[in-house]
Order: sequence, then structure tokens, then C-alpha cells
Amino acid sequence: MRAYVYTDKSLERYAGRFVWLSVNTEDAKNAAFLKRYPIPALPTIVVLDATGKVSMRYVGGATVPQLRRMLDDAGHTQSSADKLLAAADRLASDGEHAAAAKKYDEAIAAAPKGWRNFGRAAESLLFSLSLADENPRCATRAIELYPRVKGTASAANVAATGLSCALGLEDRKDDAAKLEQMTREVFDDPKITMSGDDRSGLYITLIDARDNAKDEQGALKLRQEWAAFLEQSAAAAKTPEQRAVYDSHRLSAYMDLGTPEKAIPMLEQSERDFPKDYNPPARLALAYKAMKDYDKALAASDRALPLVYGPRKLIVLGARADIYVAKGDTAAAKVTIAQAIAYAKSLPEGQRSERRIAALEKRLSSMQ
Amino acid sequence: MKRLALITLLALASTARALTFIEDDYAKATALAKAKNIPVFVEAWAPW
Repeated sequence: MRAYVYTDKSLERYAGRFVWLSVNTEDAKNAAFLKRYPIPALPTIVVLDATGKVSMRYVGGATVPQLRRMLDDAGHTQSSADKLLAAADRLASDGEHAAAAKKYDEAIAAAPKGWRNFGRAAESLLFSLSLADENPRCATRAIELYPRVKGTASAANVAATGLSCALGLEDRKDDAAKLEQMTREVFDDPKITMSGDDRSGLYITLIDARDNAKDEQGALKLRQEWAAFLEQSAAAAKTPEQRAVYDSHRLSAYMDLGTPEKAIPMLEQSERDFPKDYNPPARLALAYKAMKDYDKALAASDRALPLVYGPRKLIVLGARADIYVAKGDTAAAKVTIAQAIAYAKSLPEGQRSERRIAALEKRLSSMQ
Repeated sequence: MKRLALITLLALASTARALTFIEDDYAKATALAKAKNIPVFVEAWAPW
């Protein structure tokens, strides 16, 4: 959204209607905010009233028209459905995902004809159900709601979230097939405006569905299409920031296709364009590891580590330990995981995760 | 979805933006919102 949405001039008319706050969830300065308003995925948009109460929340990337609608509606809870939606958003913001899902369902049940928040409510319901591990209901509700959002920007998240929920369920193969068809329908609908990275996300979900169906040829064909789509999108980018949006997607696609070396030139370019960003060297480390060039992988990791901070540093340290393991240097891998544990414990409340610390400690104890 | 969440990414803060954001200062934003009696729009993101 930073590269493509917030740069849109049509948003300038909202400038005086809100105080605009950007929160980098990796920055320890934001720990108090994150403790009060947990953020489950990125990007997340939250609108707070002047007293700090959540009046609107949306998890996911919004298009410019979607964002304009949210900004127009923020704070204007006119119908009972609007009030229920705002209450559901508050529960979701408090991490009460099961309760939030129930409230989103109530909002949808109370929706007046043509309710403009229907799509957002449907998307939020499914996201809360998935976070609450209510995957069967997530799949069922996605199938029920899809016809009501078909042809809108919300159709992609409704179909794809439902499909992801269904893919983990052995007894829901038929539902998965229906949801895959719905996701494909959104994917092939030229009238639905979608950002390039959201479209890439749909590719990933559809590939997961083919993998789940053990359709190797179908999955391979989609991966090849995905890589070609990402290359075209990156080539059409107007700024280095826009081009770099596709770096991680392209790295995933190339690694899936067994051609990680294709990622090297673009990542080297991004490292030159954004010398303070840890992402390009961190991704180079992954690409070189996949190429079994462990010395170059460690050198790239060396460049990433001084730049990375916050919970993401644990991911970079974990990847570094993976390189040592692949290289056969278990002692260095153990030292790296021990560093990660110490760093994880040093993070402030709001960023510190006991679950993450436990996972690292388990990994360390399992190393021989 | 887990994989999608992992690779969801945002570009860097240097992009020219149509709106002026307060960066990483919740206290300043809420004080301003109270003074002006207007809501706070929060964009939660990370450089990944």
C-alpha cells in the first residue's frame, strides 16, 4: 500500500479529517501501541476515535477505492449493522477472534440491502474464523458469502481465505473444490481491480490448492505463470519502491521452480537501491542457501544482521542457523539460535512472544 | 495463508505520499487527535 495506494493524489482530500499515524511494528518505540492494539498481520488499518477507541479495523491490503470508502465511513455508524461491525472490529482488535467472528456474523445478519460495508464484514468474519482455528466454519461461510460479494474487490479475500481454511481439512475436499473454482473465477475476472501483490497472493493460494490435490503438472504450470506475471509486474513498476514490492514474491516463485539464481540480479539491484534495508541481503542469503553457496549466503546474512531489528531479526537469525545446518556446522547453528533466544527475551512487551521463545528453545534443545 | 502472510510485503518509507503521516509516535498522534477532536488513522506496517 505504501508504494501504490498512499501515493494516490485522490486521498489528499482526506488529509484534514484524520491524524495520520504510521506504525512500524518492528520498531520497539511502538511496543506500547502494539500491546494495546495487537496487529495479527500486515498491513492492518485501524481508525481510532479521539478517545482511542477502535471505530474501524481492516486487515489486508486495500485498493484506493476501498480505502476511500473506509475513510468516508469511518466514525459514521448509522445502521445497526454498522454498530455491530464496529463492535466486531473492537473485539478483533482485542484479539478476541471467536467473539469477533460471532459479532461479524450478527452484523452480516443485520445488513440492510445494499450495505456498503458488507464486503469488509465478510472478509473480516473469515479472517477472524481462521485466526480462531474455526476452519470448517470459515470454509462453509465463505461458500455462503461468496455469491453476495461476487464481482467486488472483496471477492478475492472471501474466496481465497475460505479456500485456505478448506485446504487443511481432510473431510472438506468438495468445499475446497468449490472454493478453488470461486478463487479462479475472481482471478479470471478482468473487472476486479487488484494490486499486483494481491494477485500474486491469489496465485499462491491456487498453487497451494493444486499441491493439495497432488496435481504436479497443474501446480507447475501455475508456478510458471506466476513467475512470468511477477516479472511483467516488476518490469512495469515506475519506481524502485514499486519494483521491490515484488522481490519476495519473485524469490518464492524462483525457489519453488528450482531456479533461485534468477533472484540474484534483482536482489543485488535492490541492495544498491536501498542500502539501509535489511531485506535484500536477507533474501540474498536465502537464495544463495538454496543454491548451496553457503559462504555467499553467510556473507549476505552478515550484511543483513546490522540492519535488521525487532521481531524480524529472529527470522534472519533463524535463516542464518539454517545455513549453518545446511553447511554441516551444528556448533555455529546452536550459537546462532542461542543469540536468537537472548534477543527474543530482550524484546519489550508488545513485541515479545513467549510462543516464539518456546519454539526457539525447542529448536536449540533438539540440535545434536 | 500462513505463507501469504509471510511474504506479504510493503515497500519503503521513502515513497512520496499524498498524506503526511506521523511516524511511530502514538502519543503525539493521540494528543493531536484530542486537540482537534478528529480520529486517528493508523497504518500498521513493517519493512518486509
